[in-house]
Amino acid sequence: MKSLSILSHKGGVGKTSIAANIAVHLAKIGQNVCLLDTDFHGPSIITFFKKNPETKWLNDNLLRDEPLENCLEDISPQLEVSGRLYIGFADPSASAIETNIRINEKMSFKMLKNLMKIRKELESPPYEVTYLILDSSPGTTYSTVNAMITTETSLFIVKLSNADLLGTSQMIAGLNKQLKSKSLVLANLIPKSVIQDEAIISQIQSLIENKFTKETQDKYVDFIGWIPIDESLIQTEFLEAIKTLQNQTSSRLIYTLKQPDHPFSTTLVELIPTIFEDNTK
Amino acid sequence: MIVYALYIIDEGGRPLLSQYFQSSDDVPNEVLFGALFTAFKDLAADVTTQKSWEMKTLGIERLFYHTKSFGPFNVVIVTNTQKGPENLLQTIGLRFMKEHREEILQDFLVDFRLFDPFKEIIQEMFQAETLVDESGKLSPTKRFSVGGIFDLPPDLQTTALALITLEEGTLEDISKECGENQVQTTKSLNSLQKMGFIGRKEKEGKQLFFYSA
Ligand SMILES: Nc1ncnc2c1ncn2[C@@H]1O[C@H](COP(=O)(O)OP(=O)(O)O)[C@@H](O)[C@H]1O
Ligand SMILES: [Mg+2]
Repeated sequence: MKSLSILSHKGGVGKTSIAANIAVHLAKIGQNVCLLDTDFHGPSIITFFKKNPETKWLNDNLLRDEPLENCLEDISPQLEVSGRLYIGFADPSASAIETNIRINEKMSFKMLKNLMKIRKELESPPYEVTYLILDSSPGTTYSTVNAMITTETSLFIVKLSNADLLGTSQMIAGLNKQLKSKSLVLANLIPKSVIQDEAIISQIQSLIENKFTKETQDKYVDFIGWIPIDESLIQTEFLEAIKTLQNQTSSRLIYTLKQPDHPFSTTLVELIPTIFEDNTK
Repeated sequence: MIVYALYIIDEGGRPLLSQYFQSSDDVPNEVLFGALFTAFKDLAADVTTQKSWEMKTLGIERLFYHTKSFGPFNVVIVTNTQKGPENLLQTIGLRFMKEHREEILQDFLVDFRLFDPFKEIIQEMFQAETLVDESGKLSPTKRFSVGGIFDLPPDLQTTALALITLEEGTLEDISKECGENQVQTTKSLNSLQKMGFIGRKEKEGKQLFFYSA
């Protein structure tokens, strides 16, 4: 089983969108995937998928030892994909978020222990998961650390703003001691005009690699690519939000499923082999 | 549940017998404990409506002191869990009463060596229930935490996480879970043991490693 945690310094850089789109793409090509929402402070995987009200929250497993089978939902029939996609949803209720804000050492350790157990369980039947993806909360919280510890690859998403660059490099420096052999950086929300110029791109790329690698001394942080800002993506999100405001049912669009030729999909799909260091296309 | 220590203390706070199941200094010595215990008992009598013979539990610094009164003496068991070993307290108390009624009632001038055979009984009882660390290296106040695991060097982290996933396991189980050879795993287990994080116990003829959380 390959495992990935998606991390960032700031919120709103595209972690959840990237996590959901990668997970769905892998299930679409026949892989068994498990996507866990470990952003307990800002649960949002739920905005992409329809959850059966009977399914318990991931919180129930991690904090209250609820059996895993009751806390995972197989979303694949809903999406009509050939592989299976199991999702563990984080509870977005105010009281659940409150619990996670006031978490103590004992509880956070319990969550780590149960995450490790989930990992183990997912490898065997009935799950036989080949890809595990954790969408984590921004910043360095206990849940970020738990996500990093339990996965083999950490993917940091950055936005090219000074605040985020500085913050991310400090975050990486802080986590340096435990950076895995594979720590990756992916830049999202990049102005299109910049990306079109090969020269500028390669120059910025080496600047970024220098910045992150310098902070981590002997460890190398791999910069794996760029995702442009997409106007239509922003518009779709806006229209879905309006629907919600009007009390209509709404669900965020998963590009790799509904619009595989969209630049957001193609860019992301091309990066998947690099992220997992394999040839799954 | 892991048992770290046991004390038998007379009514006046004098320790009659004490037994430690790990080498560390994390658990108070018997004289100090005897004094603390009497203070606690008086306080408990003042502030609670519990019957004097009911089990009482006091948690300090992640150690839980469970105590039960048997008239002229009290049995105290120190563990890592809030839930107390009620049956064990009862068994030990009654057994101690049976074996040493005479000595206890002889207010003073008791030769404490008289209680040595009783220590062996206790040792056997605890071992049979695999409640104690046989390596003697487990440190009661040293527990795995997210931060602690994060700070471990990568090879120790892998081993610690494997043990946490399994809860307890033999060398073979743990090295299989880590996906590394037994020599490597032994090295990491030894280091973690030296740091006080893990203990060892025997169950059905097998050496099992475990940790306290
Ligand atoms: N490349 C992109 N172009 C345009 N909008 C994007 C892009 N990536 C993400 N977004 C939008 O940014 C917002 C935040 O994304 P989200 O995935 O929720 O971030 P995070 O999980 O890091 O908080 C969403 O509205 C999302 O649709
Ligand atoms: Mg998010």
